[in-house]
Amino acid sequence: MTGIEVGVSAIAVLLLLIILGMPIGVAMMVASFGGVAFIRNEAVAIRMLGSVANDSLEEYLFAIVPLFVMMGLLVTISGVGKDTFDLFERMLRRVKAGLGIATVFANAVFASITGISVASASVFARVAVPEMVRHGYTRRFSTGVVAGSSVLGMLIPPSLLMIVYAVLAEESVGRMFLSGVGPGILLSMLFAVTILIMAYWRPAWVFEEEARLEAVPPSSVLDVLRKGAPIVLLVTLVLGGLYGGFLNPTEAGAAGALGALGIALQRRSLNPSKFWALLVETGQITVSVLFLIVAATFFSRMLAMSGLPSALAEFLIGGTLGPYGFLLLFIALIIVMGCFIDSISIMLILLPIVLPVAQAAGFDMIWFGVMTVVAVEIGLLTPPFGLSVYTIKAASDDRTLKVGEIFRGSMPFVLAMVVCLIILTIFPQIATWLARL
Amino acid sequence: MQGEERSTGADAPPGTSGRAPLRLWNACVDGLAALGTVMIVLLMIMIVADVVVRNLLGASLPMIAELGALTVVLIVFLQLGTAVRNDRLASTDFFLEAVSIRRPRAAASIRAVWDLFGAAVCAGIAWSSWGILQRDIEHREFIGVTGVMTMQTAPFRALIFVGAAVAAIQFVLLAARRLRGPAPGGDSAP
Repeated sequence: MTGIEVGVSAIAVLLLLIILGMPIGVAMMVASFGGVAFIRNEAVAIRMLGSVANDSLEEYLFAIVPLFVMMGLLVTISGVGKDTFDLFERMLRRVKAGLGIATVFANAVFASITGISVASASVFARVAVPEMVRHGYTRRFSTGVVAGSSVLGMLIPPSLLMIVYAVLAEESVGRMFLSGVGPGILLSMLFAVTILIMAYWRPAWVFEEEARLEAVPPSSVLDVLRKGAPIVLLVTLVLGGLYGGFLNPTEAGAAGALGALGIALQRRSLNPSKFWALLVETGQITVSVLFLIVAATFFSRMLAMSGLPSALAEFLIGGTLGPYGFLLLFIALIIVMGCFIDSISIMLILLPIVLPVAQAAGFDMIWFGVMTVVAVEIGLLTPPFGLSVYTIKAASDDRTLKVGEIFRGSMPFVLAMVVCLIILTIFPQIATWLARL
Repeated sequence: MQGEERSTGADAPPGTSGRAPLRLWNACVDGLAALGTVMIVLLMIMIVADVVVRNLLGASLPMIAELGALTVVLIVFLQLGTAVRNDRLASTDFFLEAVSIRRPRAAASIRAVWDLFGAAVCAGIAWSSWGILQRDIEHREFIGVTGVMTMQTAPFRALIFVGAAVAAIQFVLLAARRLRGPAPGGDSAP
């Protein structure tokens, strides 16, 4: 067999094993081991396995993963999300469907101190959904808004998906973070517009009955300060430190984690056993992410050895498909895979194959990263395997809440994300302007 | 953001681990994981200390970057065993769920086969890490700058080897538990 045939077979075997339920990291290693063994021999394959396991994670940069995960979990339990929601609720109390829009904006702000969408989904499922239902919004709409806007968590910096992309594409983490700001704001706007359109044209979808406009007392200056301060503080610490040139991304993660710990302690939301459980959870998330990265490193080295990516680049870009045909195919593939496989795994499987093609197509790699992240996040909302949706179901106290109801509620937001992808294709500056400044 | 919908985060599996050797084994695996957990806090403290010292005194602490990098590898391999036991490695479920409705035993057997693949992969990592460990001992590999502060890499390599070996054994135990029969409650969770 030629290298290219081996590469193609390895990908086919990998997909088959994943569909049949083998852990994705293990499947990637098995397929890569087989590939290398066919191209060279078993001895080379086992040596590569060992060197990948020992060397691929030995980067200062990867310390960022446990640190930002820990920061996200800490702000989740310290109630910062609820305060953000409170502030926006009062600000938007006279707007039609104001609570829905408040949820979106509160998520956008909360996203700037957390890098994982499950954190946003679990916080706002507990905070925003009961409040909306109490004010006469339908459950389908309330949970749909929370699911939809939770994707902002991994688009607006800091963001775990951006870190993973930066690692694979060898881009700077700082720039990838910046590239998410514009699209994050764009997507928030699109979500708000979606909500308004539904509220005016399909009120039955949004409201159970005529919305009860309760007299929410306007918040005092002191209250705003007290509730807004922790977020402003953390954002200044993390993003200010990063772009002020005081901190590198890893250090920004450490400072953020420590800051979040300080806030959690000050609010007395931690005791020793809670803190330990949180650390254990941080460790488990870290392991599952980084183990996948080890496996993906092996996979991409095997692919490079097979010569498949460069052959694919020649074939796809030189052929009738063209750059934008390739982009369309890639986005469609991500969305289909997103129905079955989790976000990080999709990126780790596809990017080693696709990055050389994107480079050959002459795409801006930062913009390509943003497109990838938005497309991958659609998978958080699509059945049967939408992680945000399941997180909301798990976090909700309402036992009668059906997963299907949340999936239906989040569909309008999936459409908004597709619109966002189209706008980003037409105006790539939205993503690249800040990052290339 | 991982792929596990049934991540309960629960620790020791109930019931089945009644026998003493198994309990001892579980305690060891948990001990390794606890070490990894402590290292997350150490990592944070280490990096923050570096930032503070650099901004106050204008000089970086020695070896932080290399030490941080090795710590991350350790965090992963020390906790891999518990991650395996708690089924925290991302996987897709739809096929096995569908099978287990009609034929739960068949689904359990398939899962056990995948566990054995996992065991083979981790054993392979352990095997070749052993070689790297010996090379590091022979060559006295170290991190840091000679004359300022250095540290042998061998202890780190040894822990990577231990972590991979433990994960391999844990995969085998998981396979055995799945084959013995579904856990009470009907779910495939170990």
